[in-house]
Amino acid sequence: MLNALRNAVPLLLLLVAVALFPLVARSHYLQQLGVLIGLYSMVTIGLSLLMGYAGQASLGQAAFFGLGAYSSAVLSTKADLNPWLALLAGIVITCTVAALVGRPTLRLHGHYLAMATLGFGIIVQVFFHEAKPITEGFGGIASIPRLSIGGLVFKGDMLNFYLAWAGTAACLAIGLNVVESRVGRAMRAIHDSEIAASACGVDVARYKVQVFVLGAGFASLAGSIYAHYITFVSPEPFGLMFSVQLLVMVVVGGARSLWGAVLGAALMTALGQQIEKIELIRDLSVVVYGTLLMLFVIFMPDGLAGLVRRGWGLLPWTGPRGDAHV
Amino acid sequence: MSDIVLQVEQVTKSFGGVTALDSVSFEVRQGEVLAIIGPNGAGKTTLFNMVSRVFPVSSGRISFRGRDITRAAPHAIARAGIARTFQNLQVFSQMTVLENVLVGCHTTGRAGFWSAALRLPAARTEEAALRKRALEMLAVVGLTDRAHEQAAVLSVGQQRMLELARALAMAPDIVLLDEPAAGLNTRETAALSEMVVRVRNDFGVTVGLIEHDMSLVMGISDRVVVLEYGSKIAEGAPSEVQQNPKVIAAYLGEDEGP
Repeated sequence: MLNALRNAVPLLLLLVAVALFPLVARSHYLQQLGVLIGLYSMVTIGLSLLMGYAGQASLGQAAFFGLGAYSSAVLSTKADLNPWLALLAGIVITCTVAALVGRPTLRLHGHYLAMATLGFGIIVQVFFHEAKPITEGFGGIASIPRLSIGGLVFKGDMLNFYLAWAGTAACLAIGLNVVESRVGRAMRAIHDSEIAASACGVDVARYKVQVFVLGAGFASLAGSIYAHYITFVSPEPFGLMFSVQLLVMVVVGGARSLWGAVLGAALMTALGQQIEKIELIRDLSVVVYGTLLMLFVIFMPDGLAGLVRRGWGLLPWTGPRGDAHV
Repeated sequence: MSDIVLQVEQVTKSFGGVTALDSVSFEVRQGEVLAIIGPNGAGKTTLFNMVSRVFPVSSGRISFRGRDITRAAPHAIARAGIARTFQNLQVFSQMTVLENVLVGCHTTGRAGFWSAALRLPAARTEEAALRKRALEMLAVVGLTDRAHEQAAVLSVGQQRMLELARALAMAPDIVLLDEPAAGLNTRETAALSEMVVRVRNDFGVTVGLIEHDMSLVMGISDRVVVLEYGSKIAEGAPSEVQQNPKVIAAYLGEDEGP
């Protein structure tokens, strides 16, 4: 079908990129970048569903990523839980917390979720700092055990690279299925006209909460893989700045495209690492992200994915297409 | 049992200090076309917005087939069997024409989040059934050949037909049409008039109709409710209402005199 075809091209490109990556990326630096892009893509896919399909922004995705990471860290070091079980427990914990945050705020009209998650993100980071008996405070938790299947221990960059991208593939598959279903249609309808969607019997608040919780689950999964990969967590990386970066990734990639979310994550993660290297602008990185966000919102609201789609449409062998989503 | 589908009892709505509706009561009976008319600002759309719970009522009671729906959520009211269209068009403009009607089929489907996420066979079978139904509804309003176009590119008249198809897809007991002829030309208005009659006769759907076009109202409605300044000033058969001095005054202005 048309939908299958439309996803086939980016899927093929992604597979080629993942397959060729080990040939190109020889250094630890590049390989780690590849892992991080995979992990961040999982978060941005969830955030893109929330922003592009439910029309809500979240500034708490870093906190969900952090909750996953800390759940894995605490449960696998202090409770000696199997890392996979710790990962699953992390998803359950994070999704429960997301439902508690989302349920009251998503019943309100307007961008209360953005405000609520802004506060929530700060609270979570303070918790990581202050709940020393659990989180070890500023010092963080070290020696987190690695994930393993039978005798295969996910040690080193490349094994974690494949693990991260398998996770990304799963998130993409779930996301694309939801988008192209009755549920996804209902969510897109909410985005176009909430009043008409509810007049069609769509329980607006319920779907918003569901997609918010799903995105939190994706972030938690990514956070857990991160913790078992780096084997160390501390509160610093899971702050507001990271949430803003994730938001910028989605906007740059194009909020209405899950493929754009991956593209945005790749581009902005690579760019972010460059910014960190240049001393002159390192301290101004907030300004750089803010400027990018504004430029994209004003001049390219459908992001890089929109640019690719338009470019593709201009090619001689592609005709105009009806279904305008994904 | 009673044949009353929708009952509105002493519904009042104030926005701040302004009373948009003042203790309005009427009922819609099974199988009729009930028109609600009145000058601009009389509170007609507000009345529909009370029924479909876009805004809560300030006081009063609304019941649907004997069940109190005054405080039900908008989506629950839709699920109960009340569909509507909008005066200021509310098509899902970024979705295709077919997808718009598929959203109308939402209540007839059941596939939830997980069966969708994992693409379970039940969800796929259901999706095929919904598509078939949506295409049937598009055929009814004559938009089959536009099915895969983006809804935003349709003309106003076509968008009104699309909203009607979307409402019918819900298989409602009653459909509330809010000025369906606004922005339509004479030919389109005639087609609409036929369509409203078909909705009642062929689909067995009771119709509530807000309309300014008097010839349309007088031609197809069984009863008429007249509002002015938020109050009901008359109710009855079209011919009766037309003769009512209060109605004539409301439309021509108080100072005109007989």
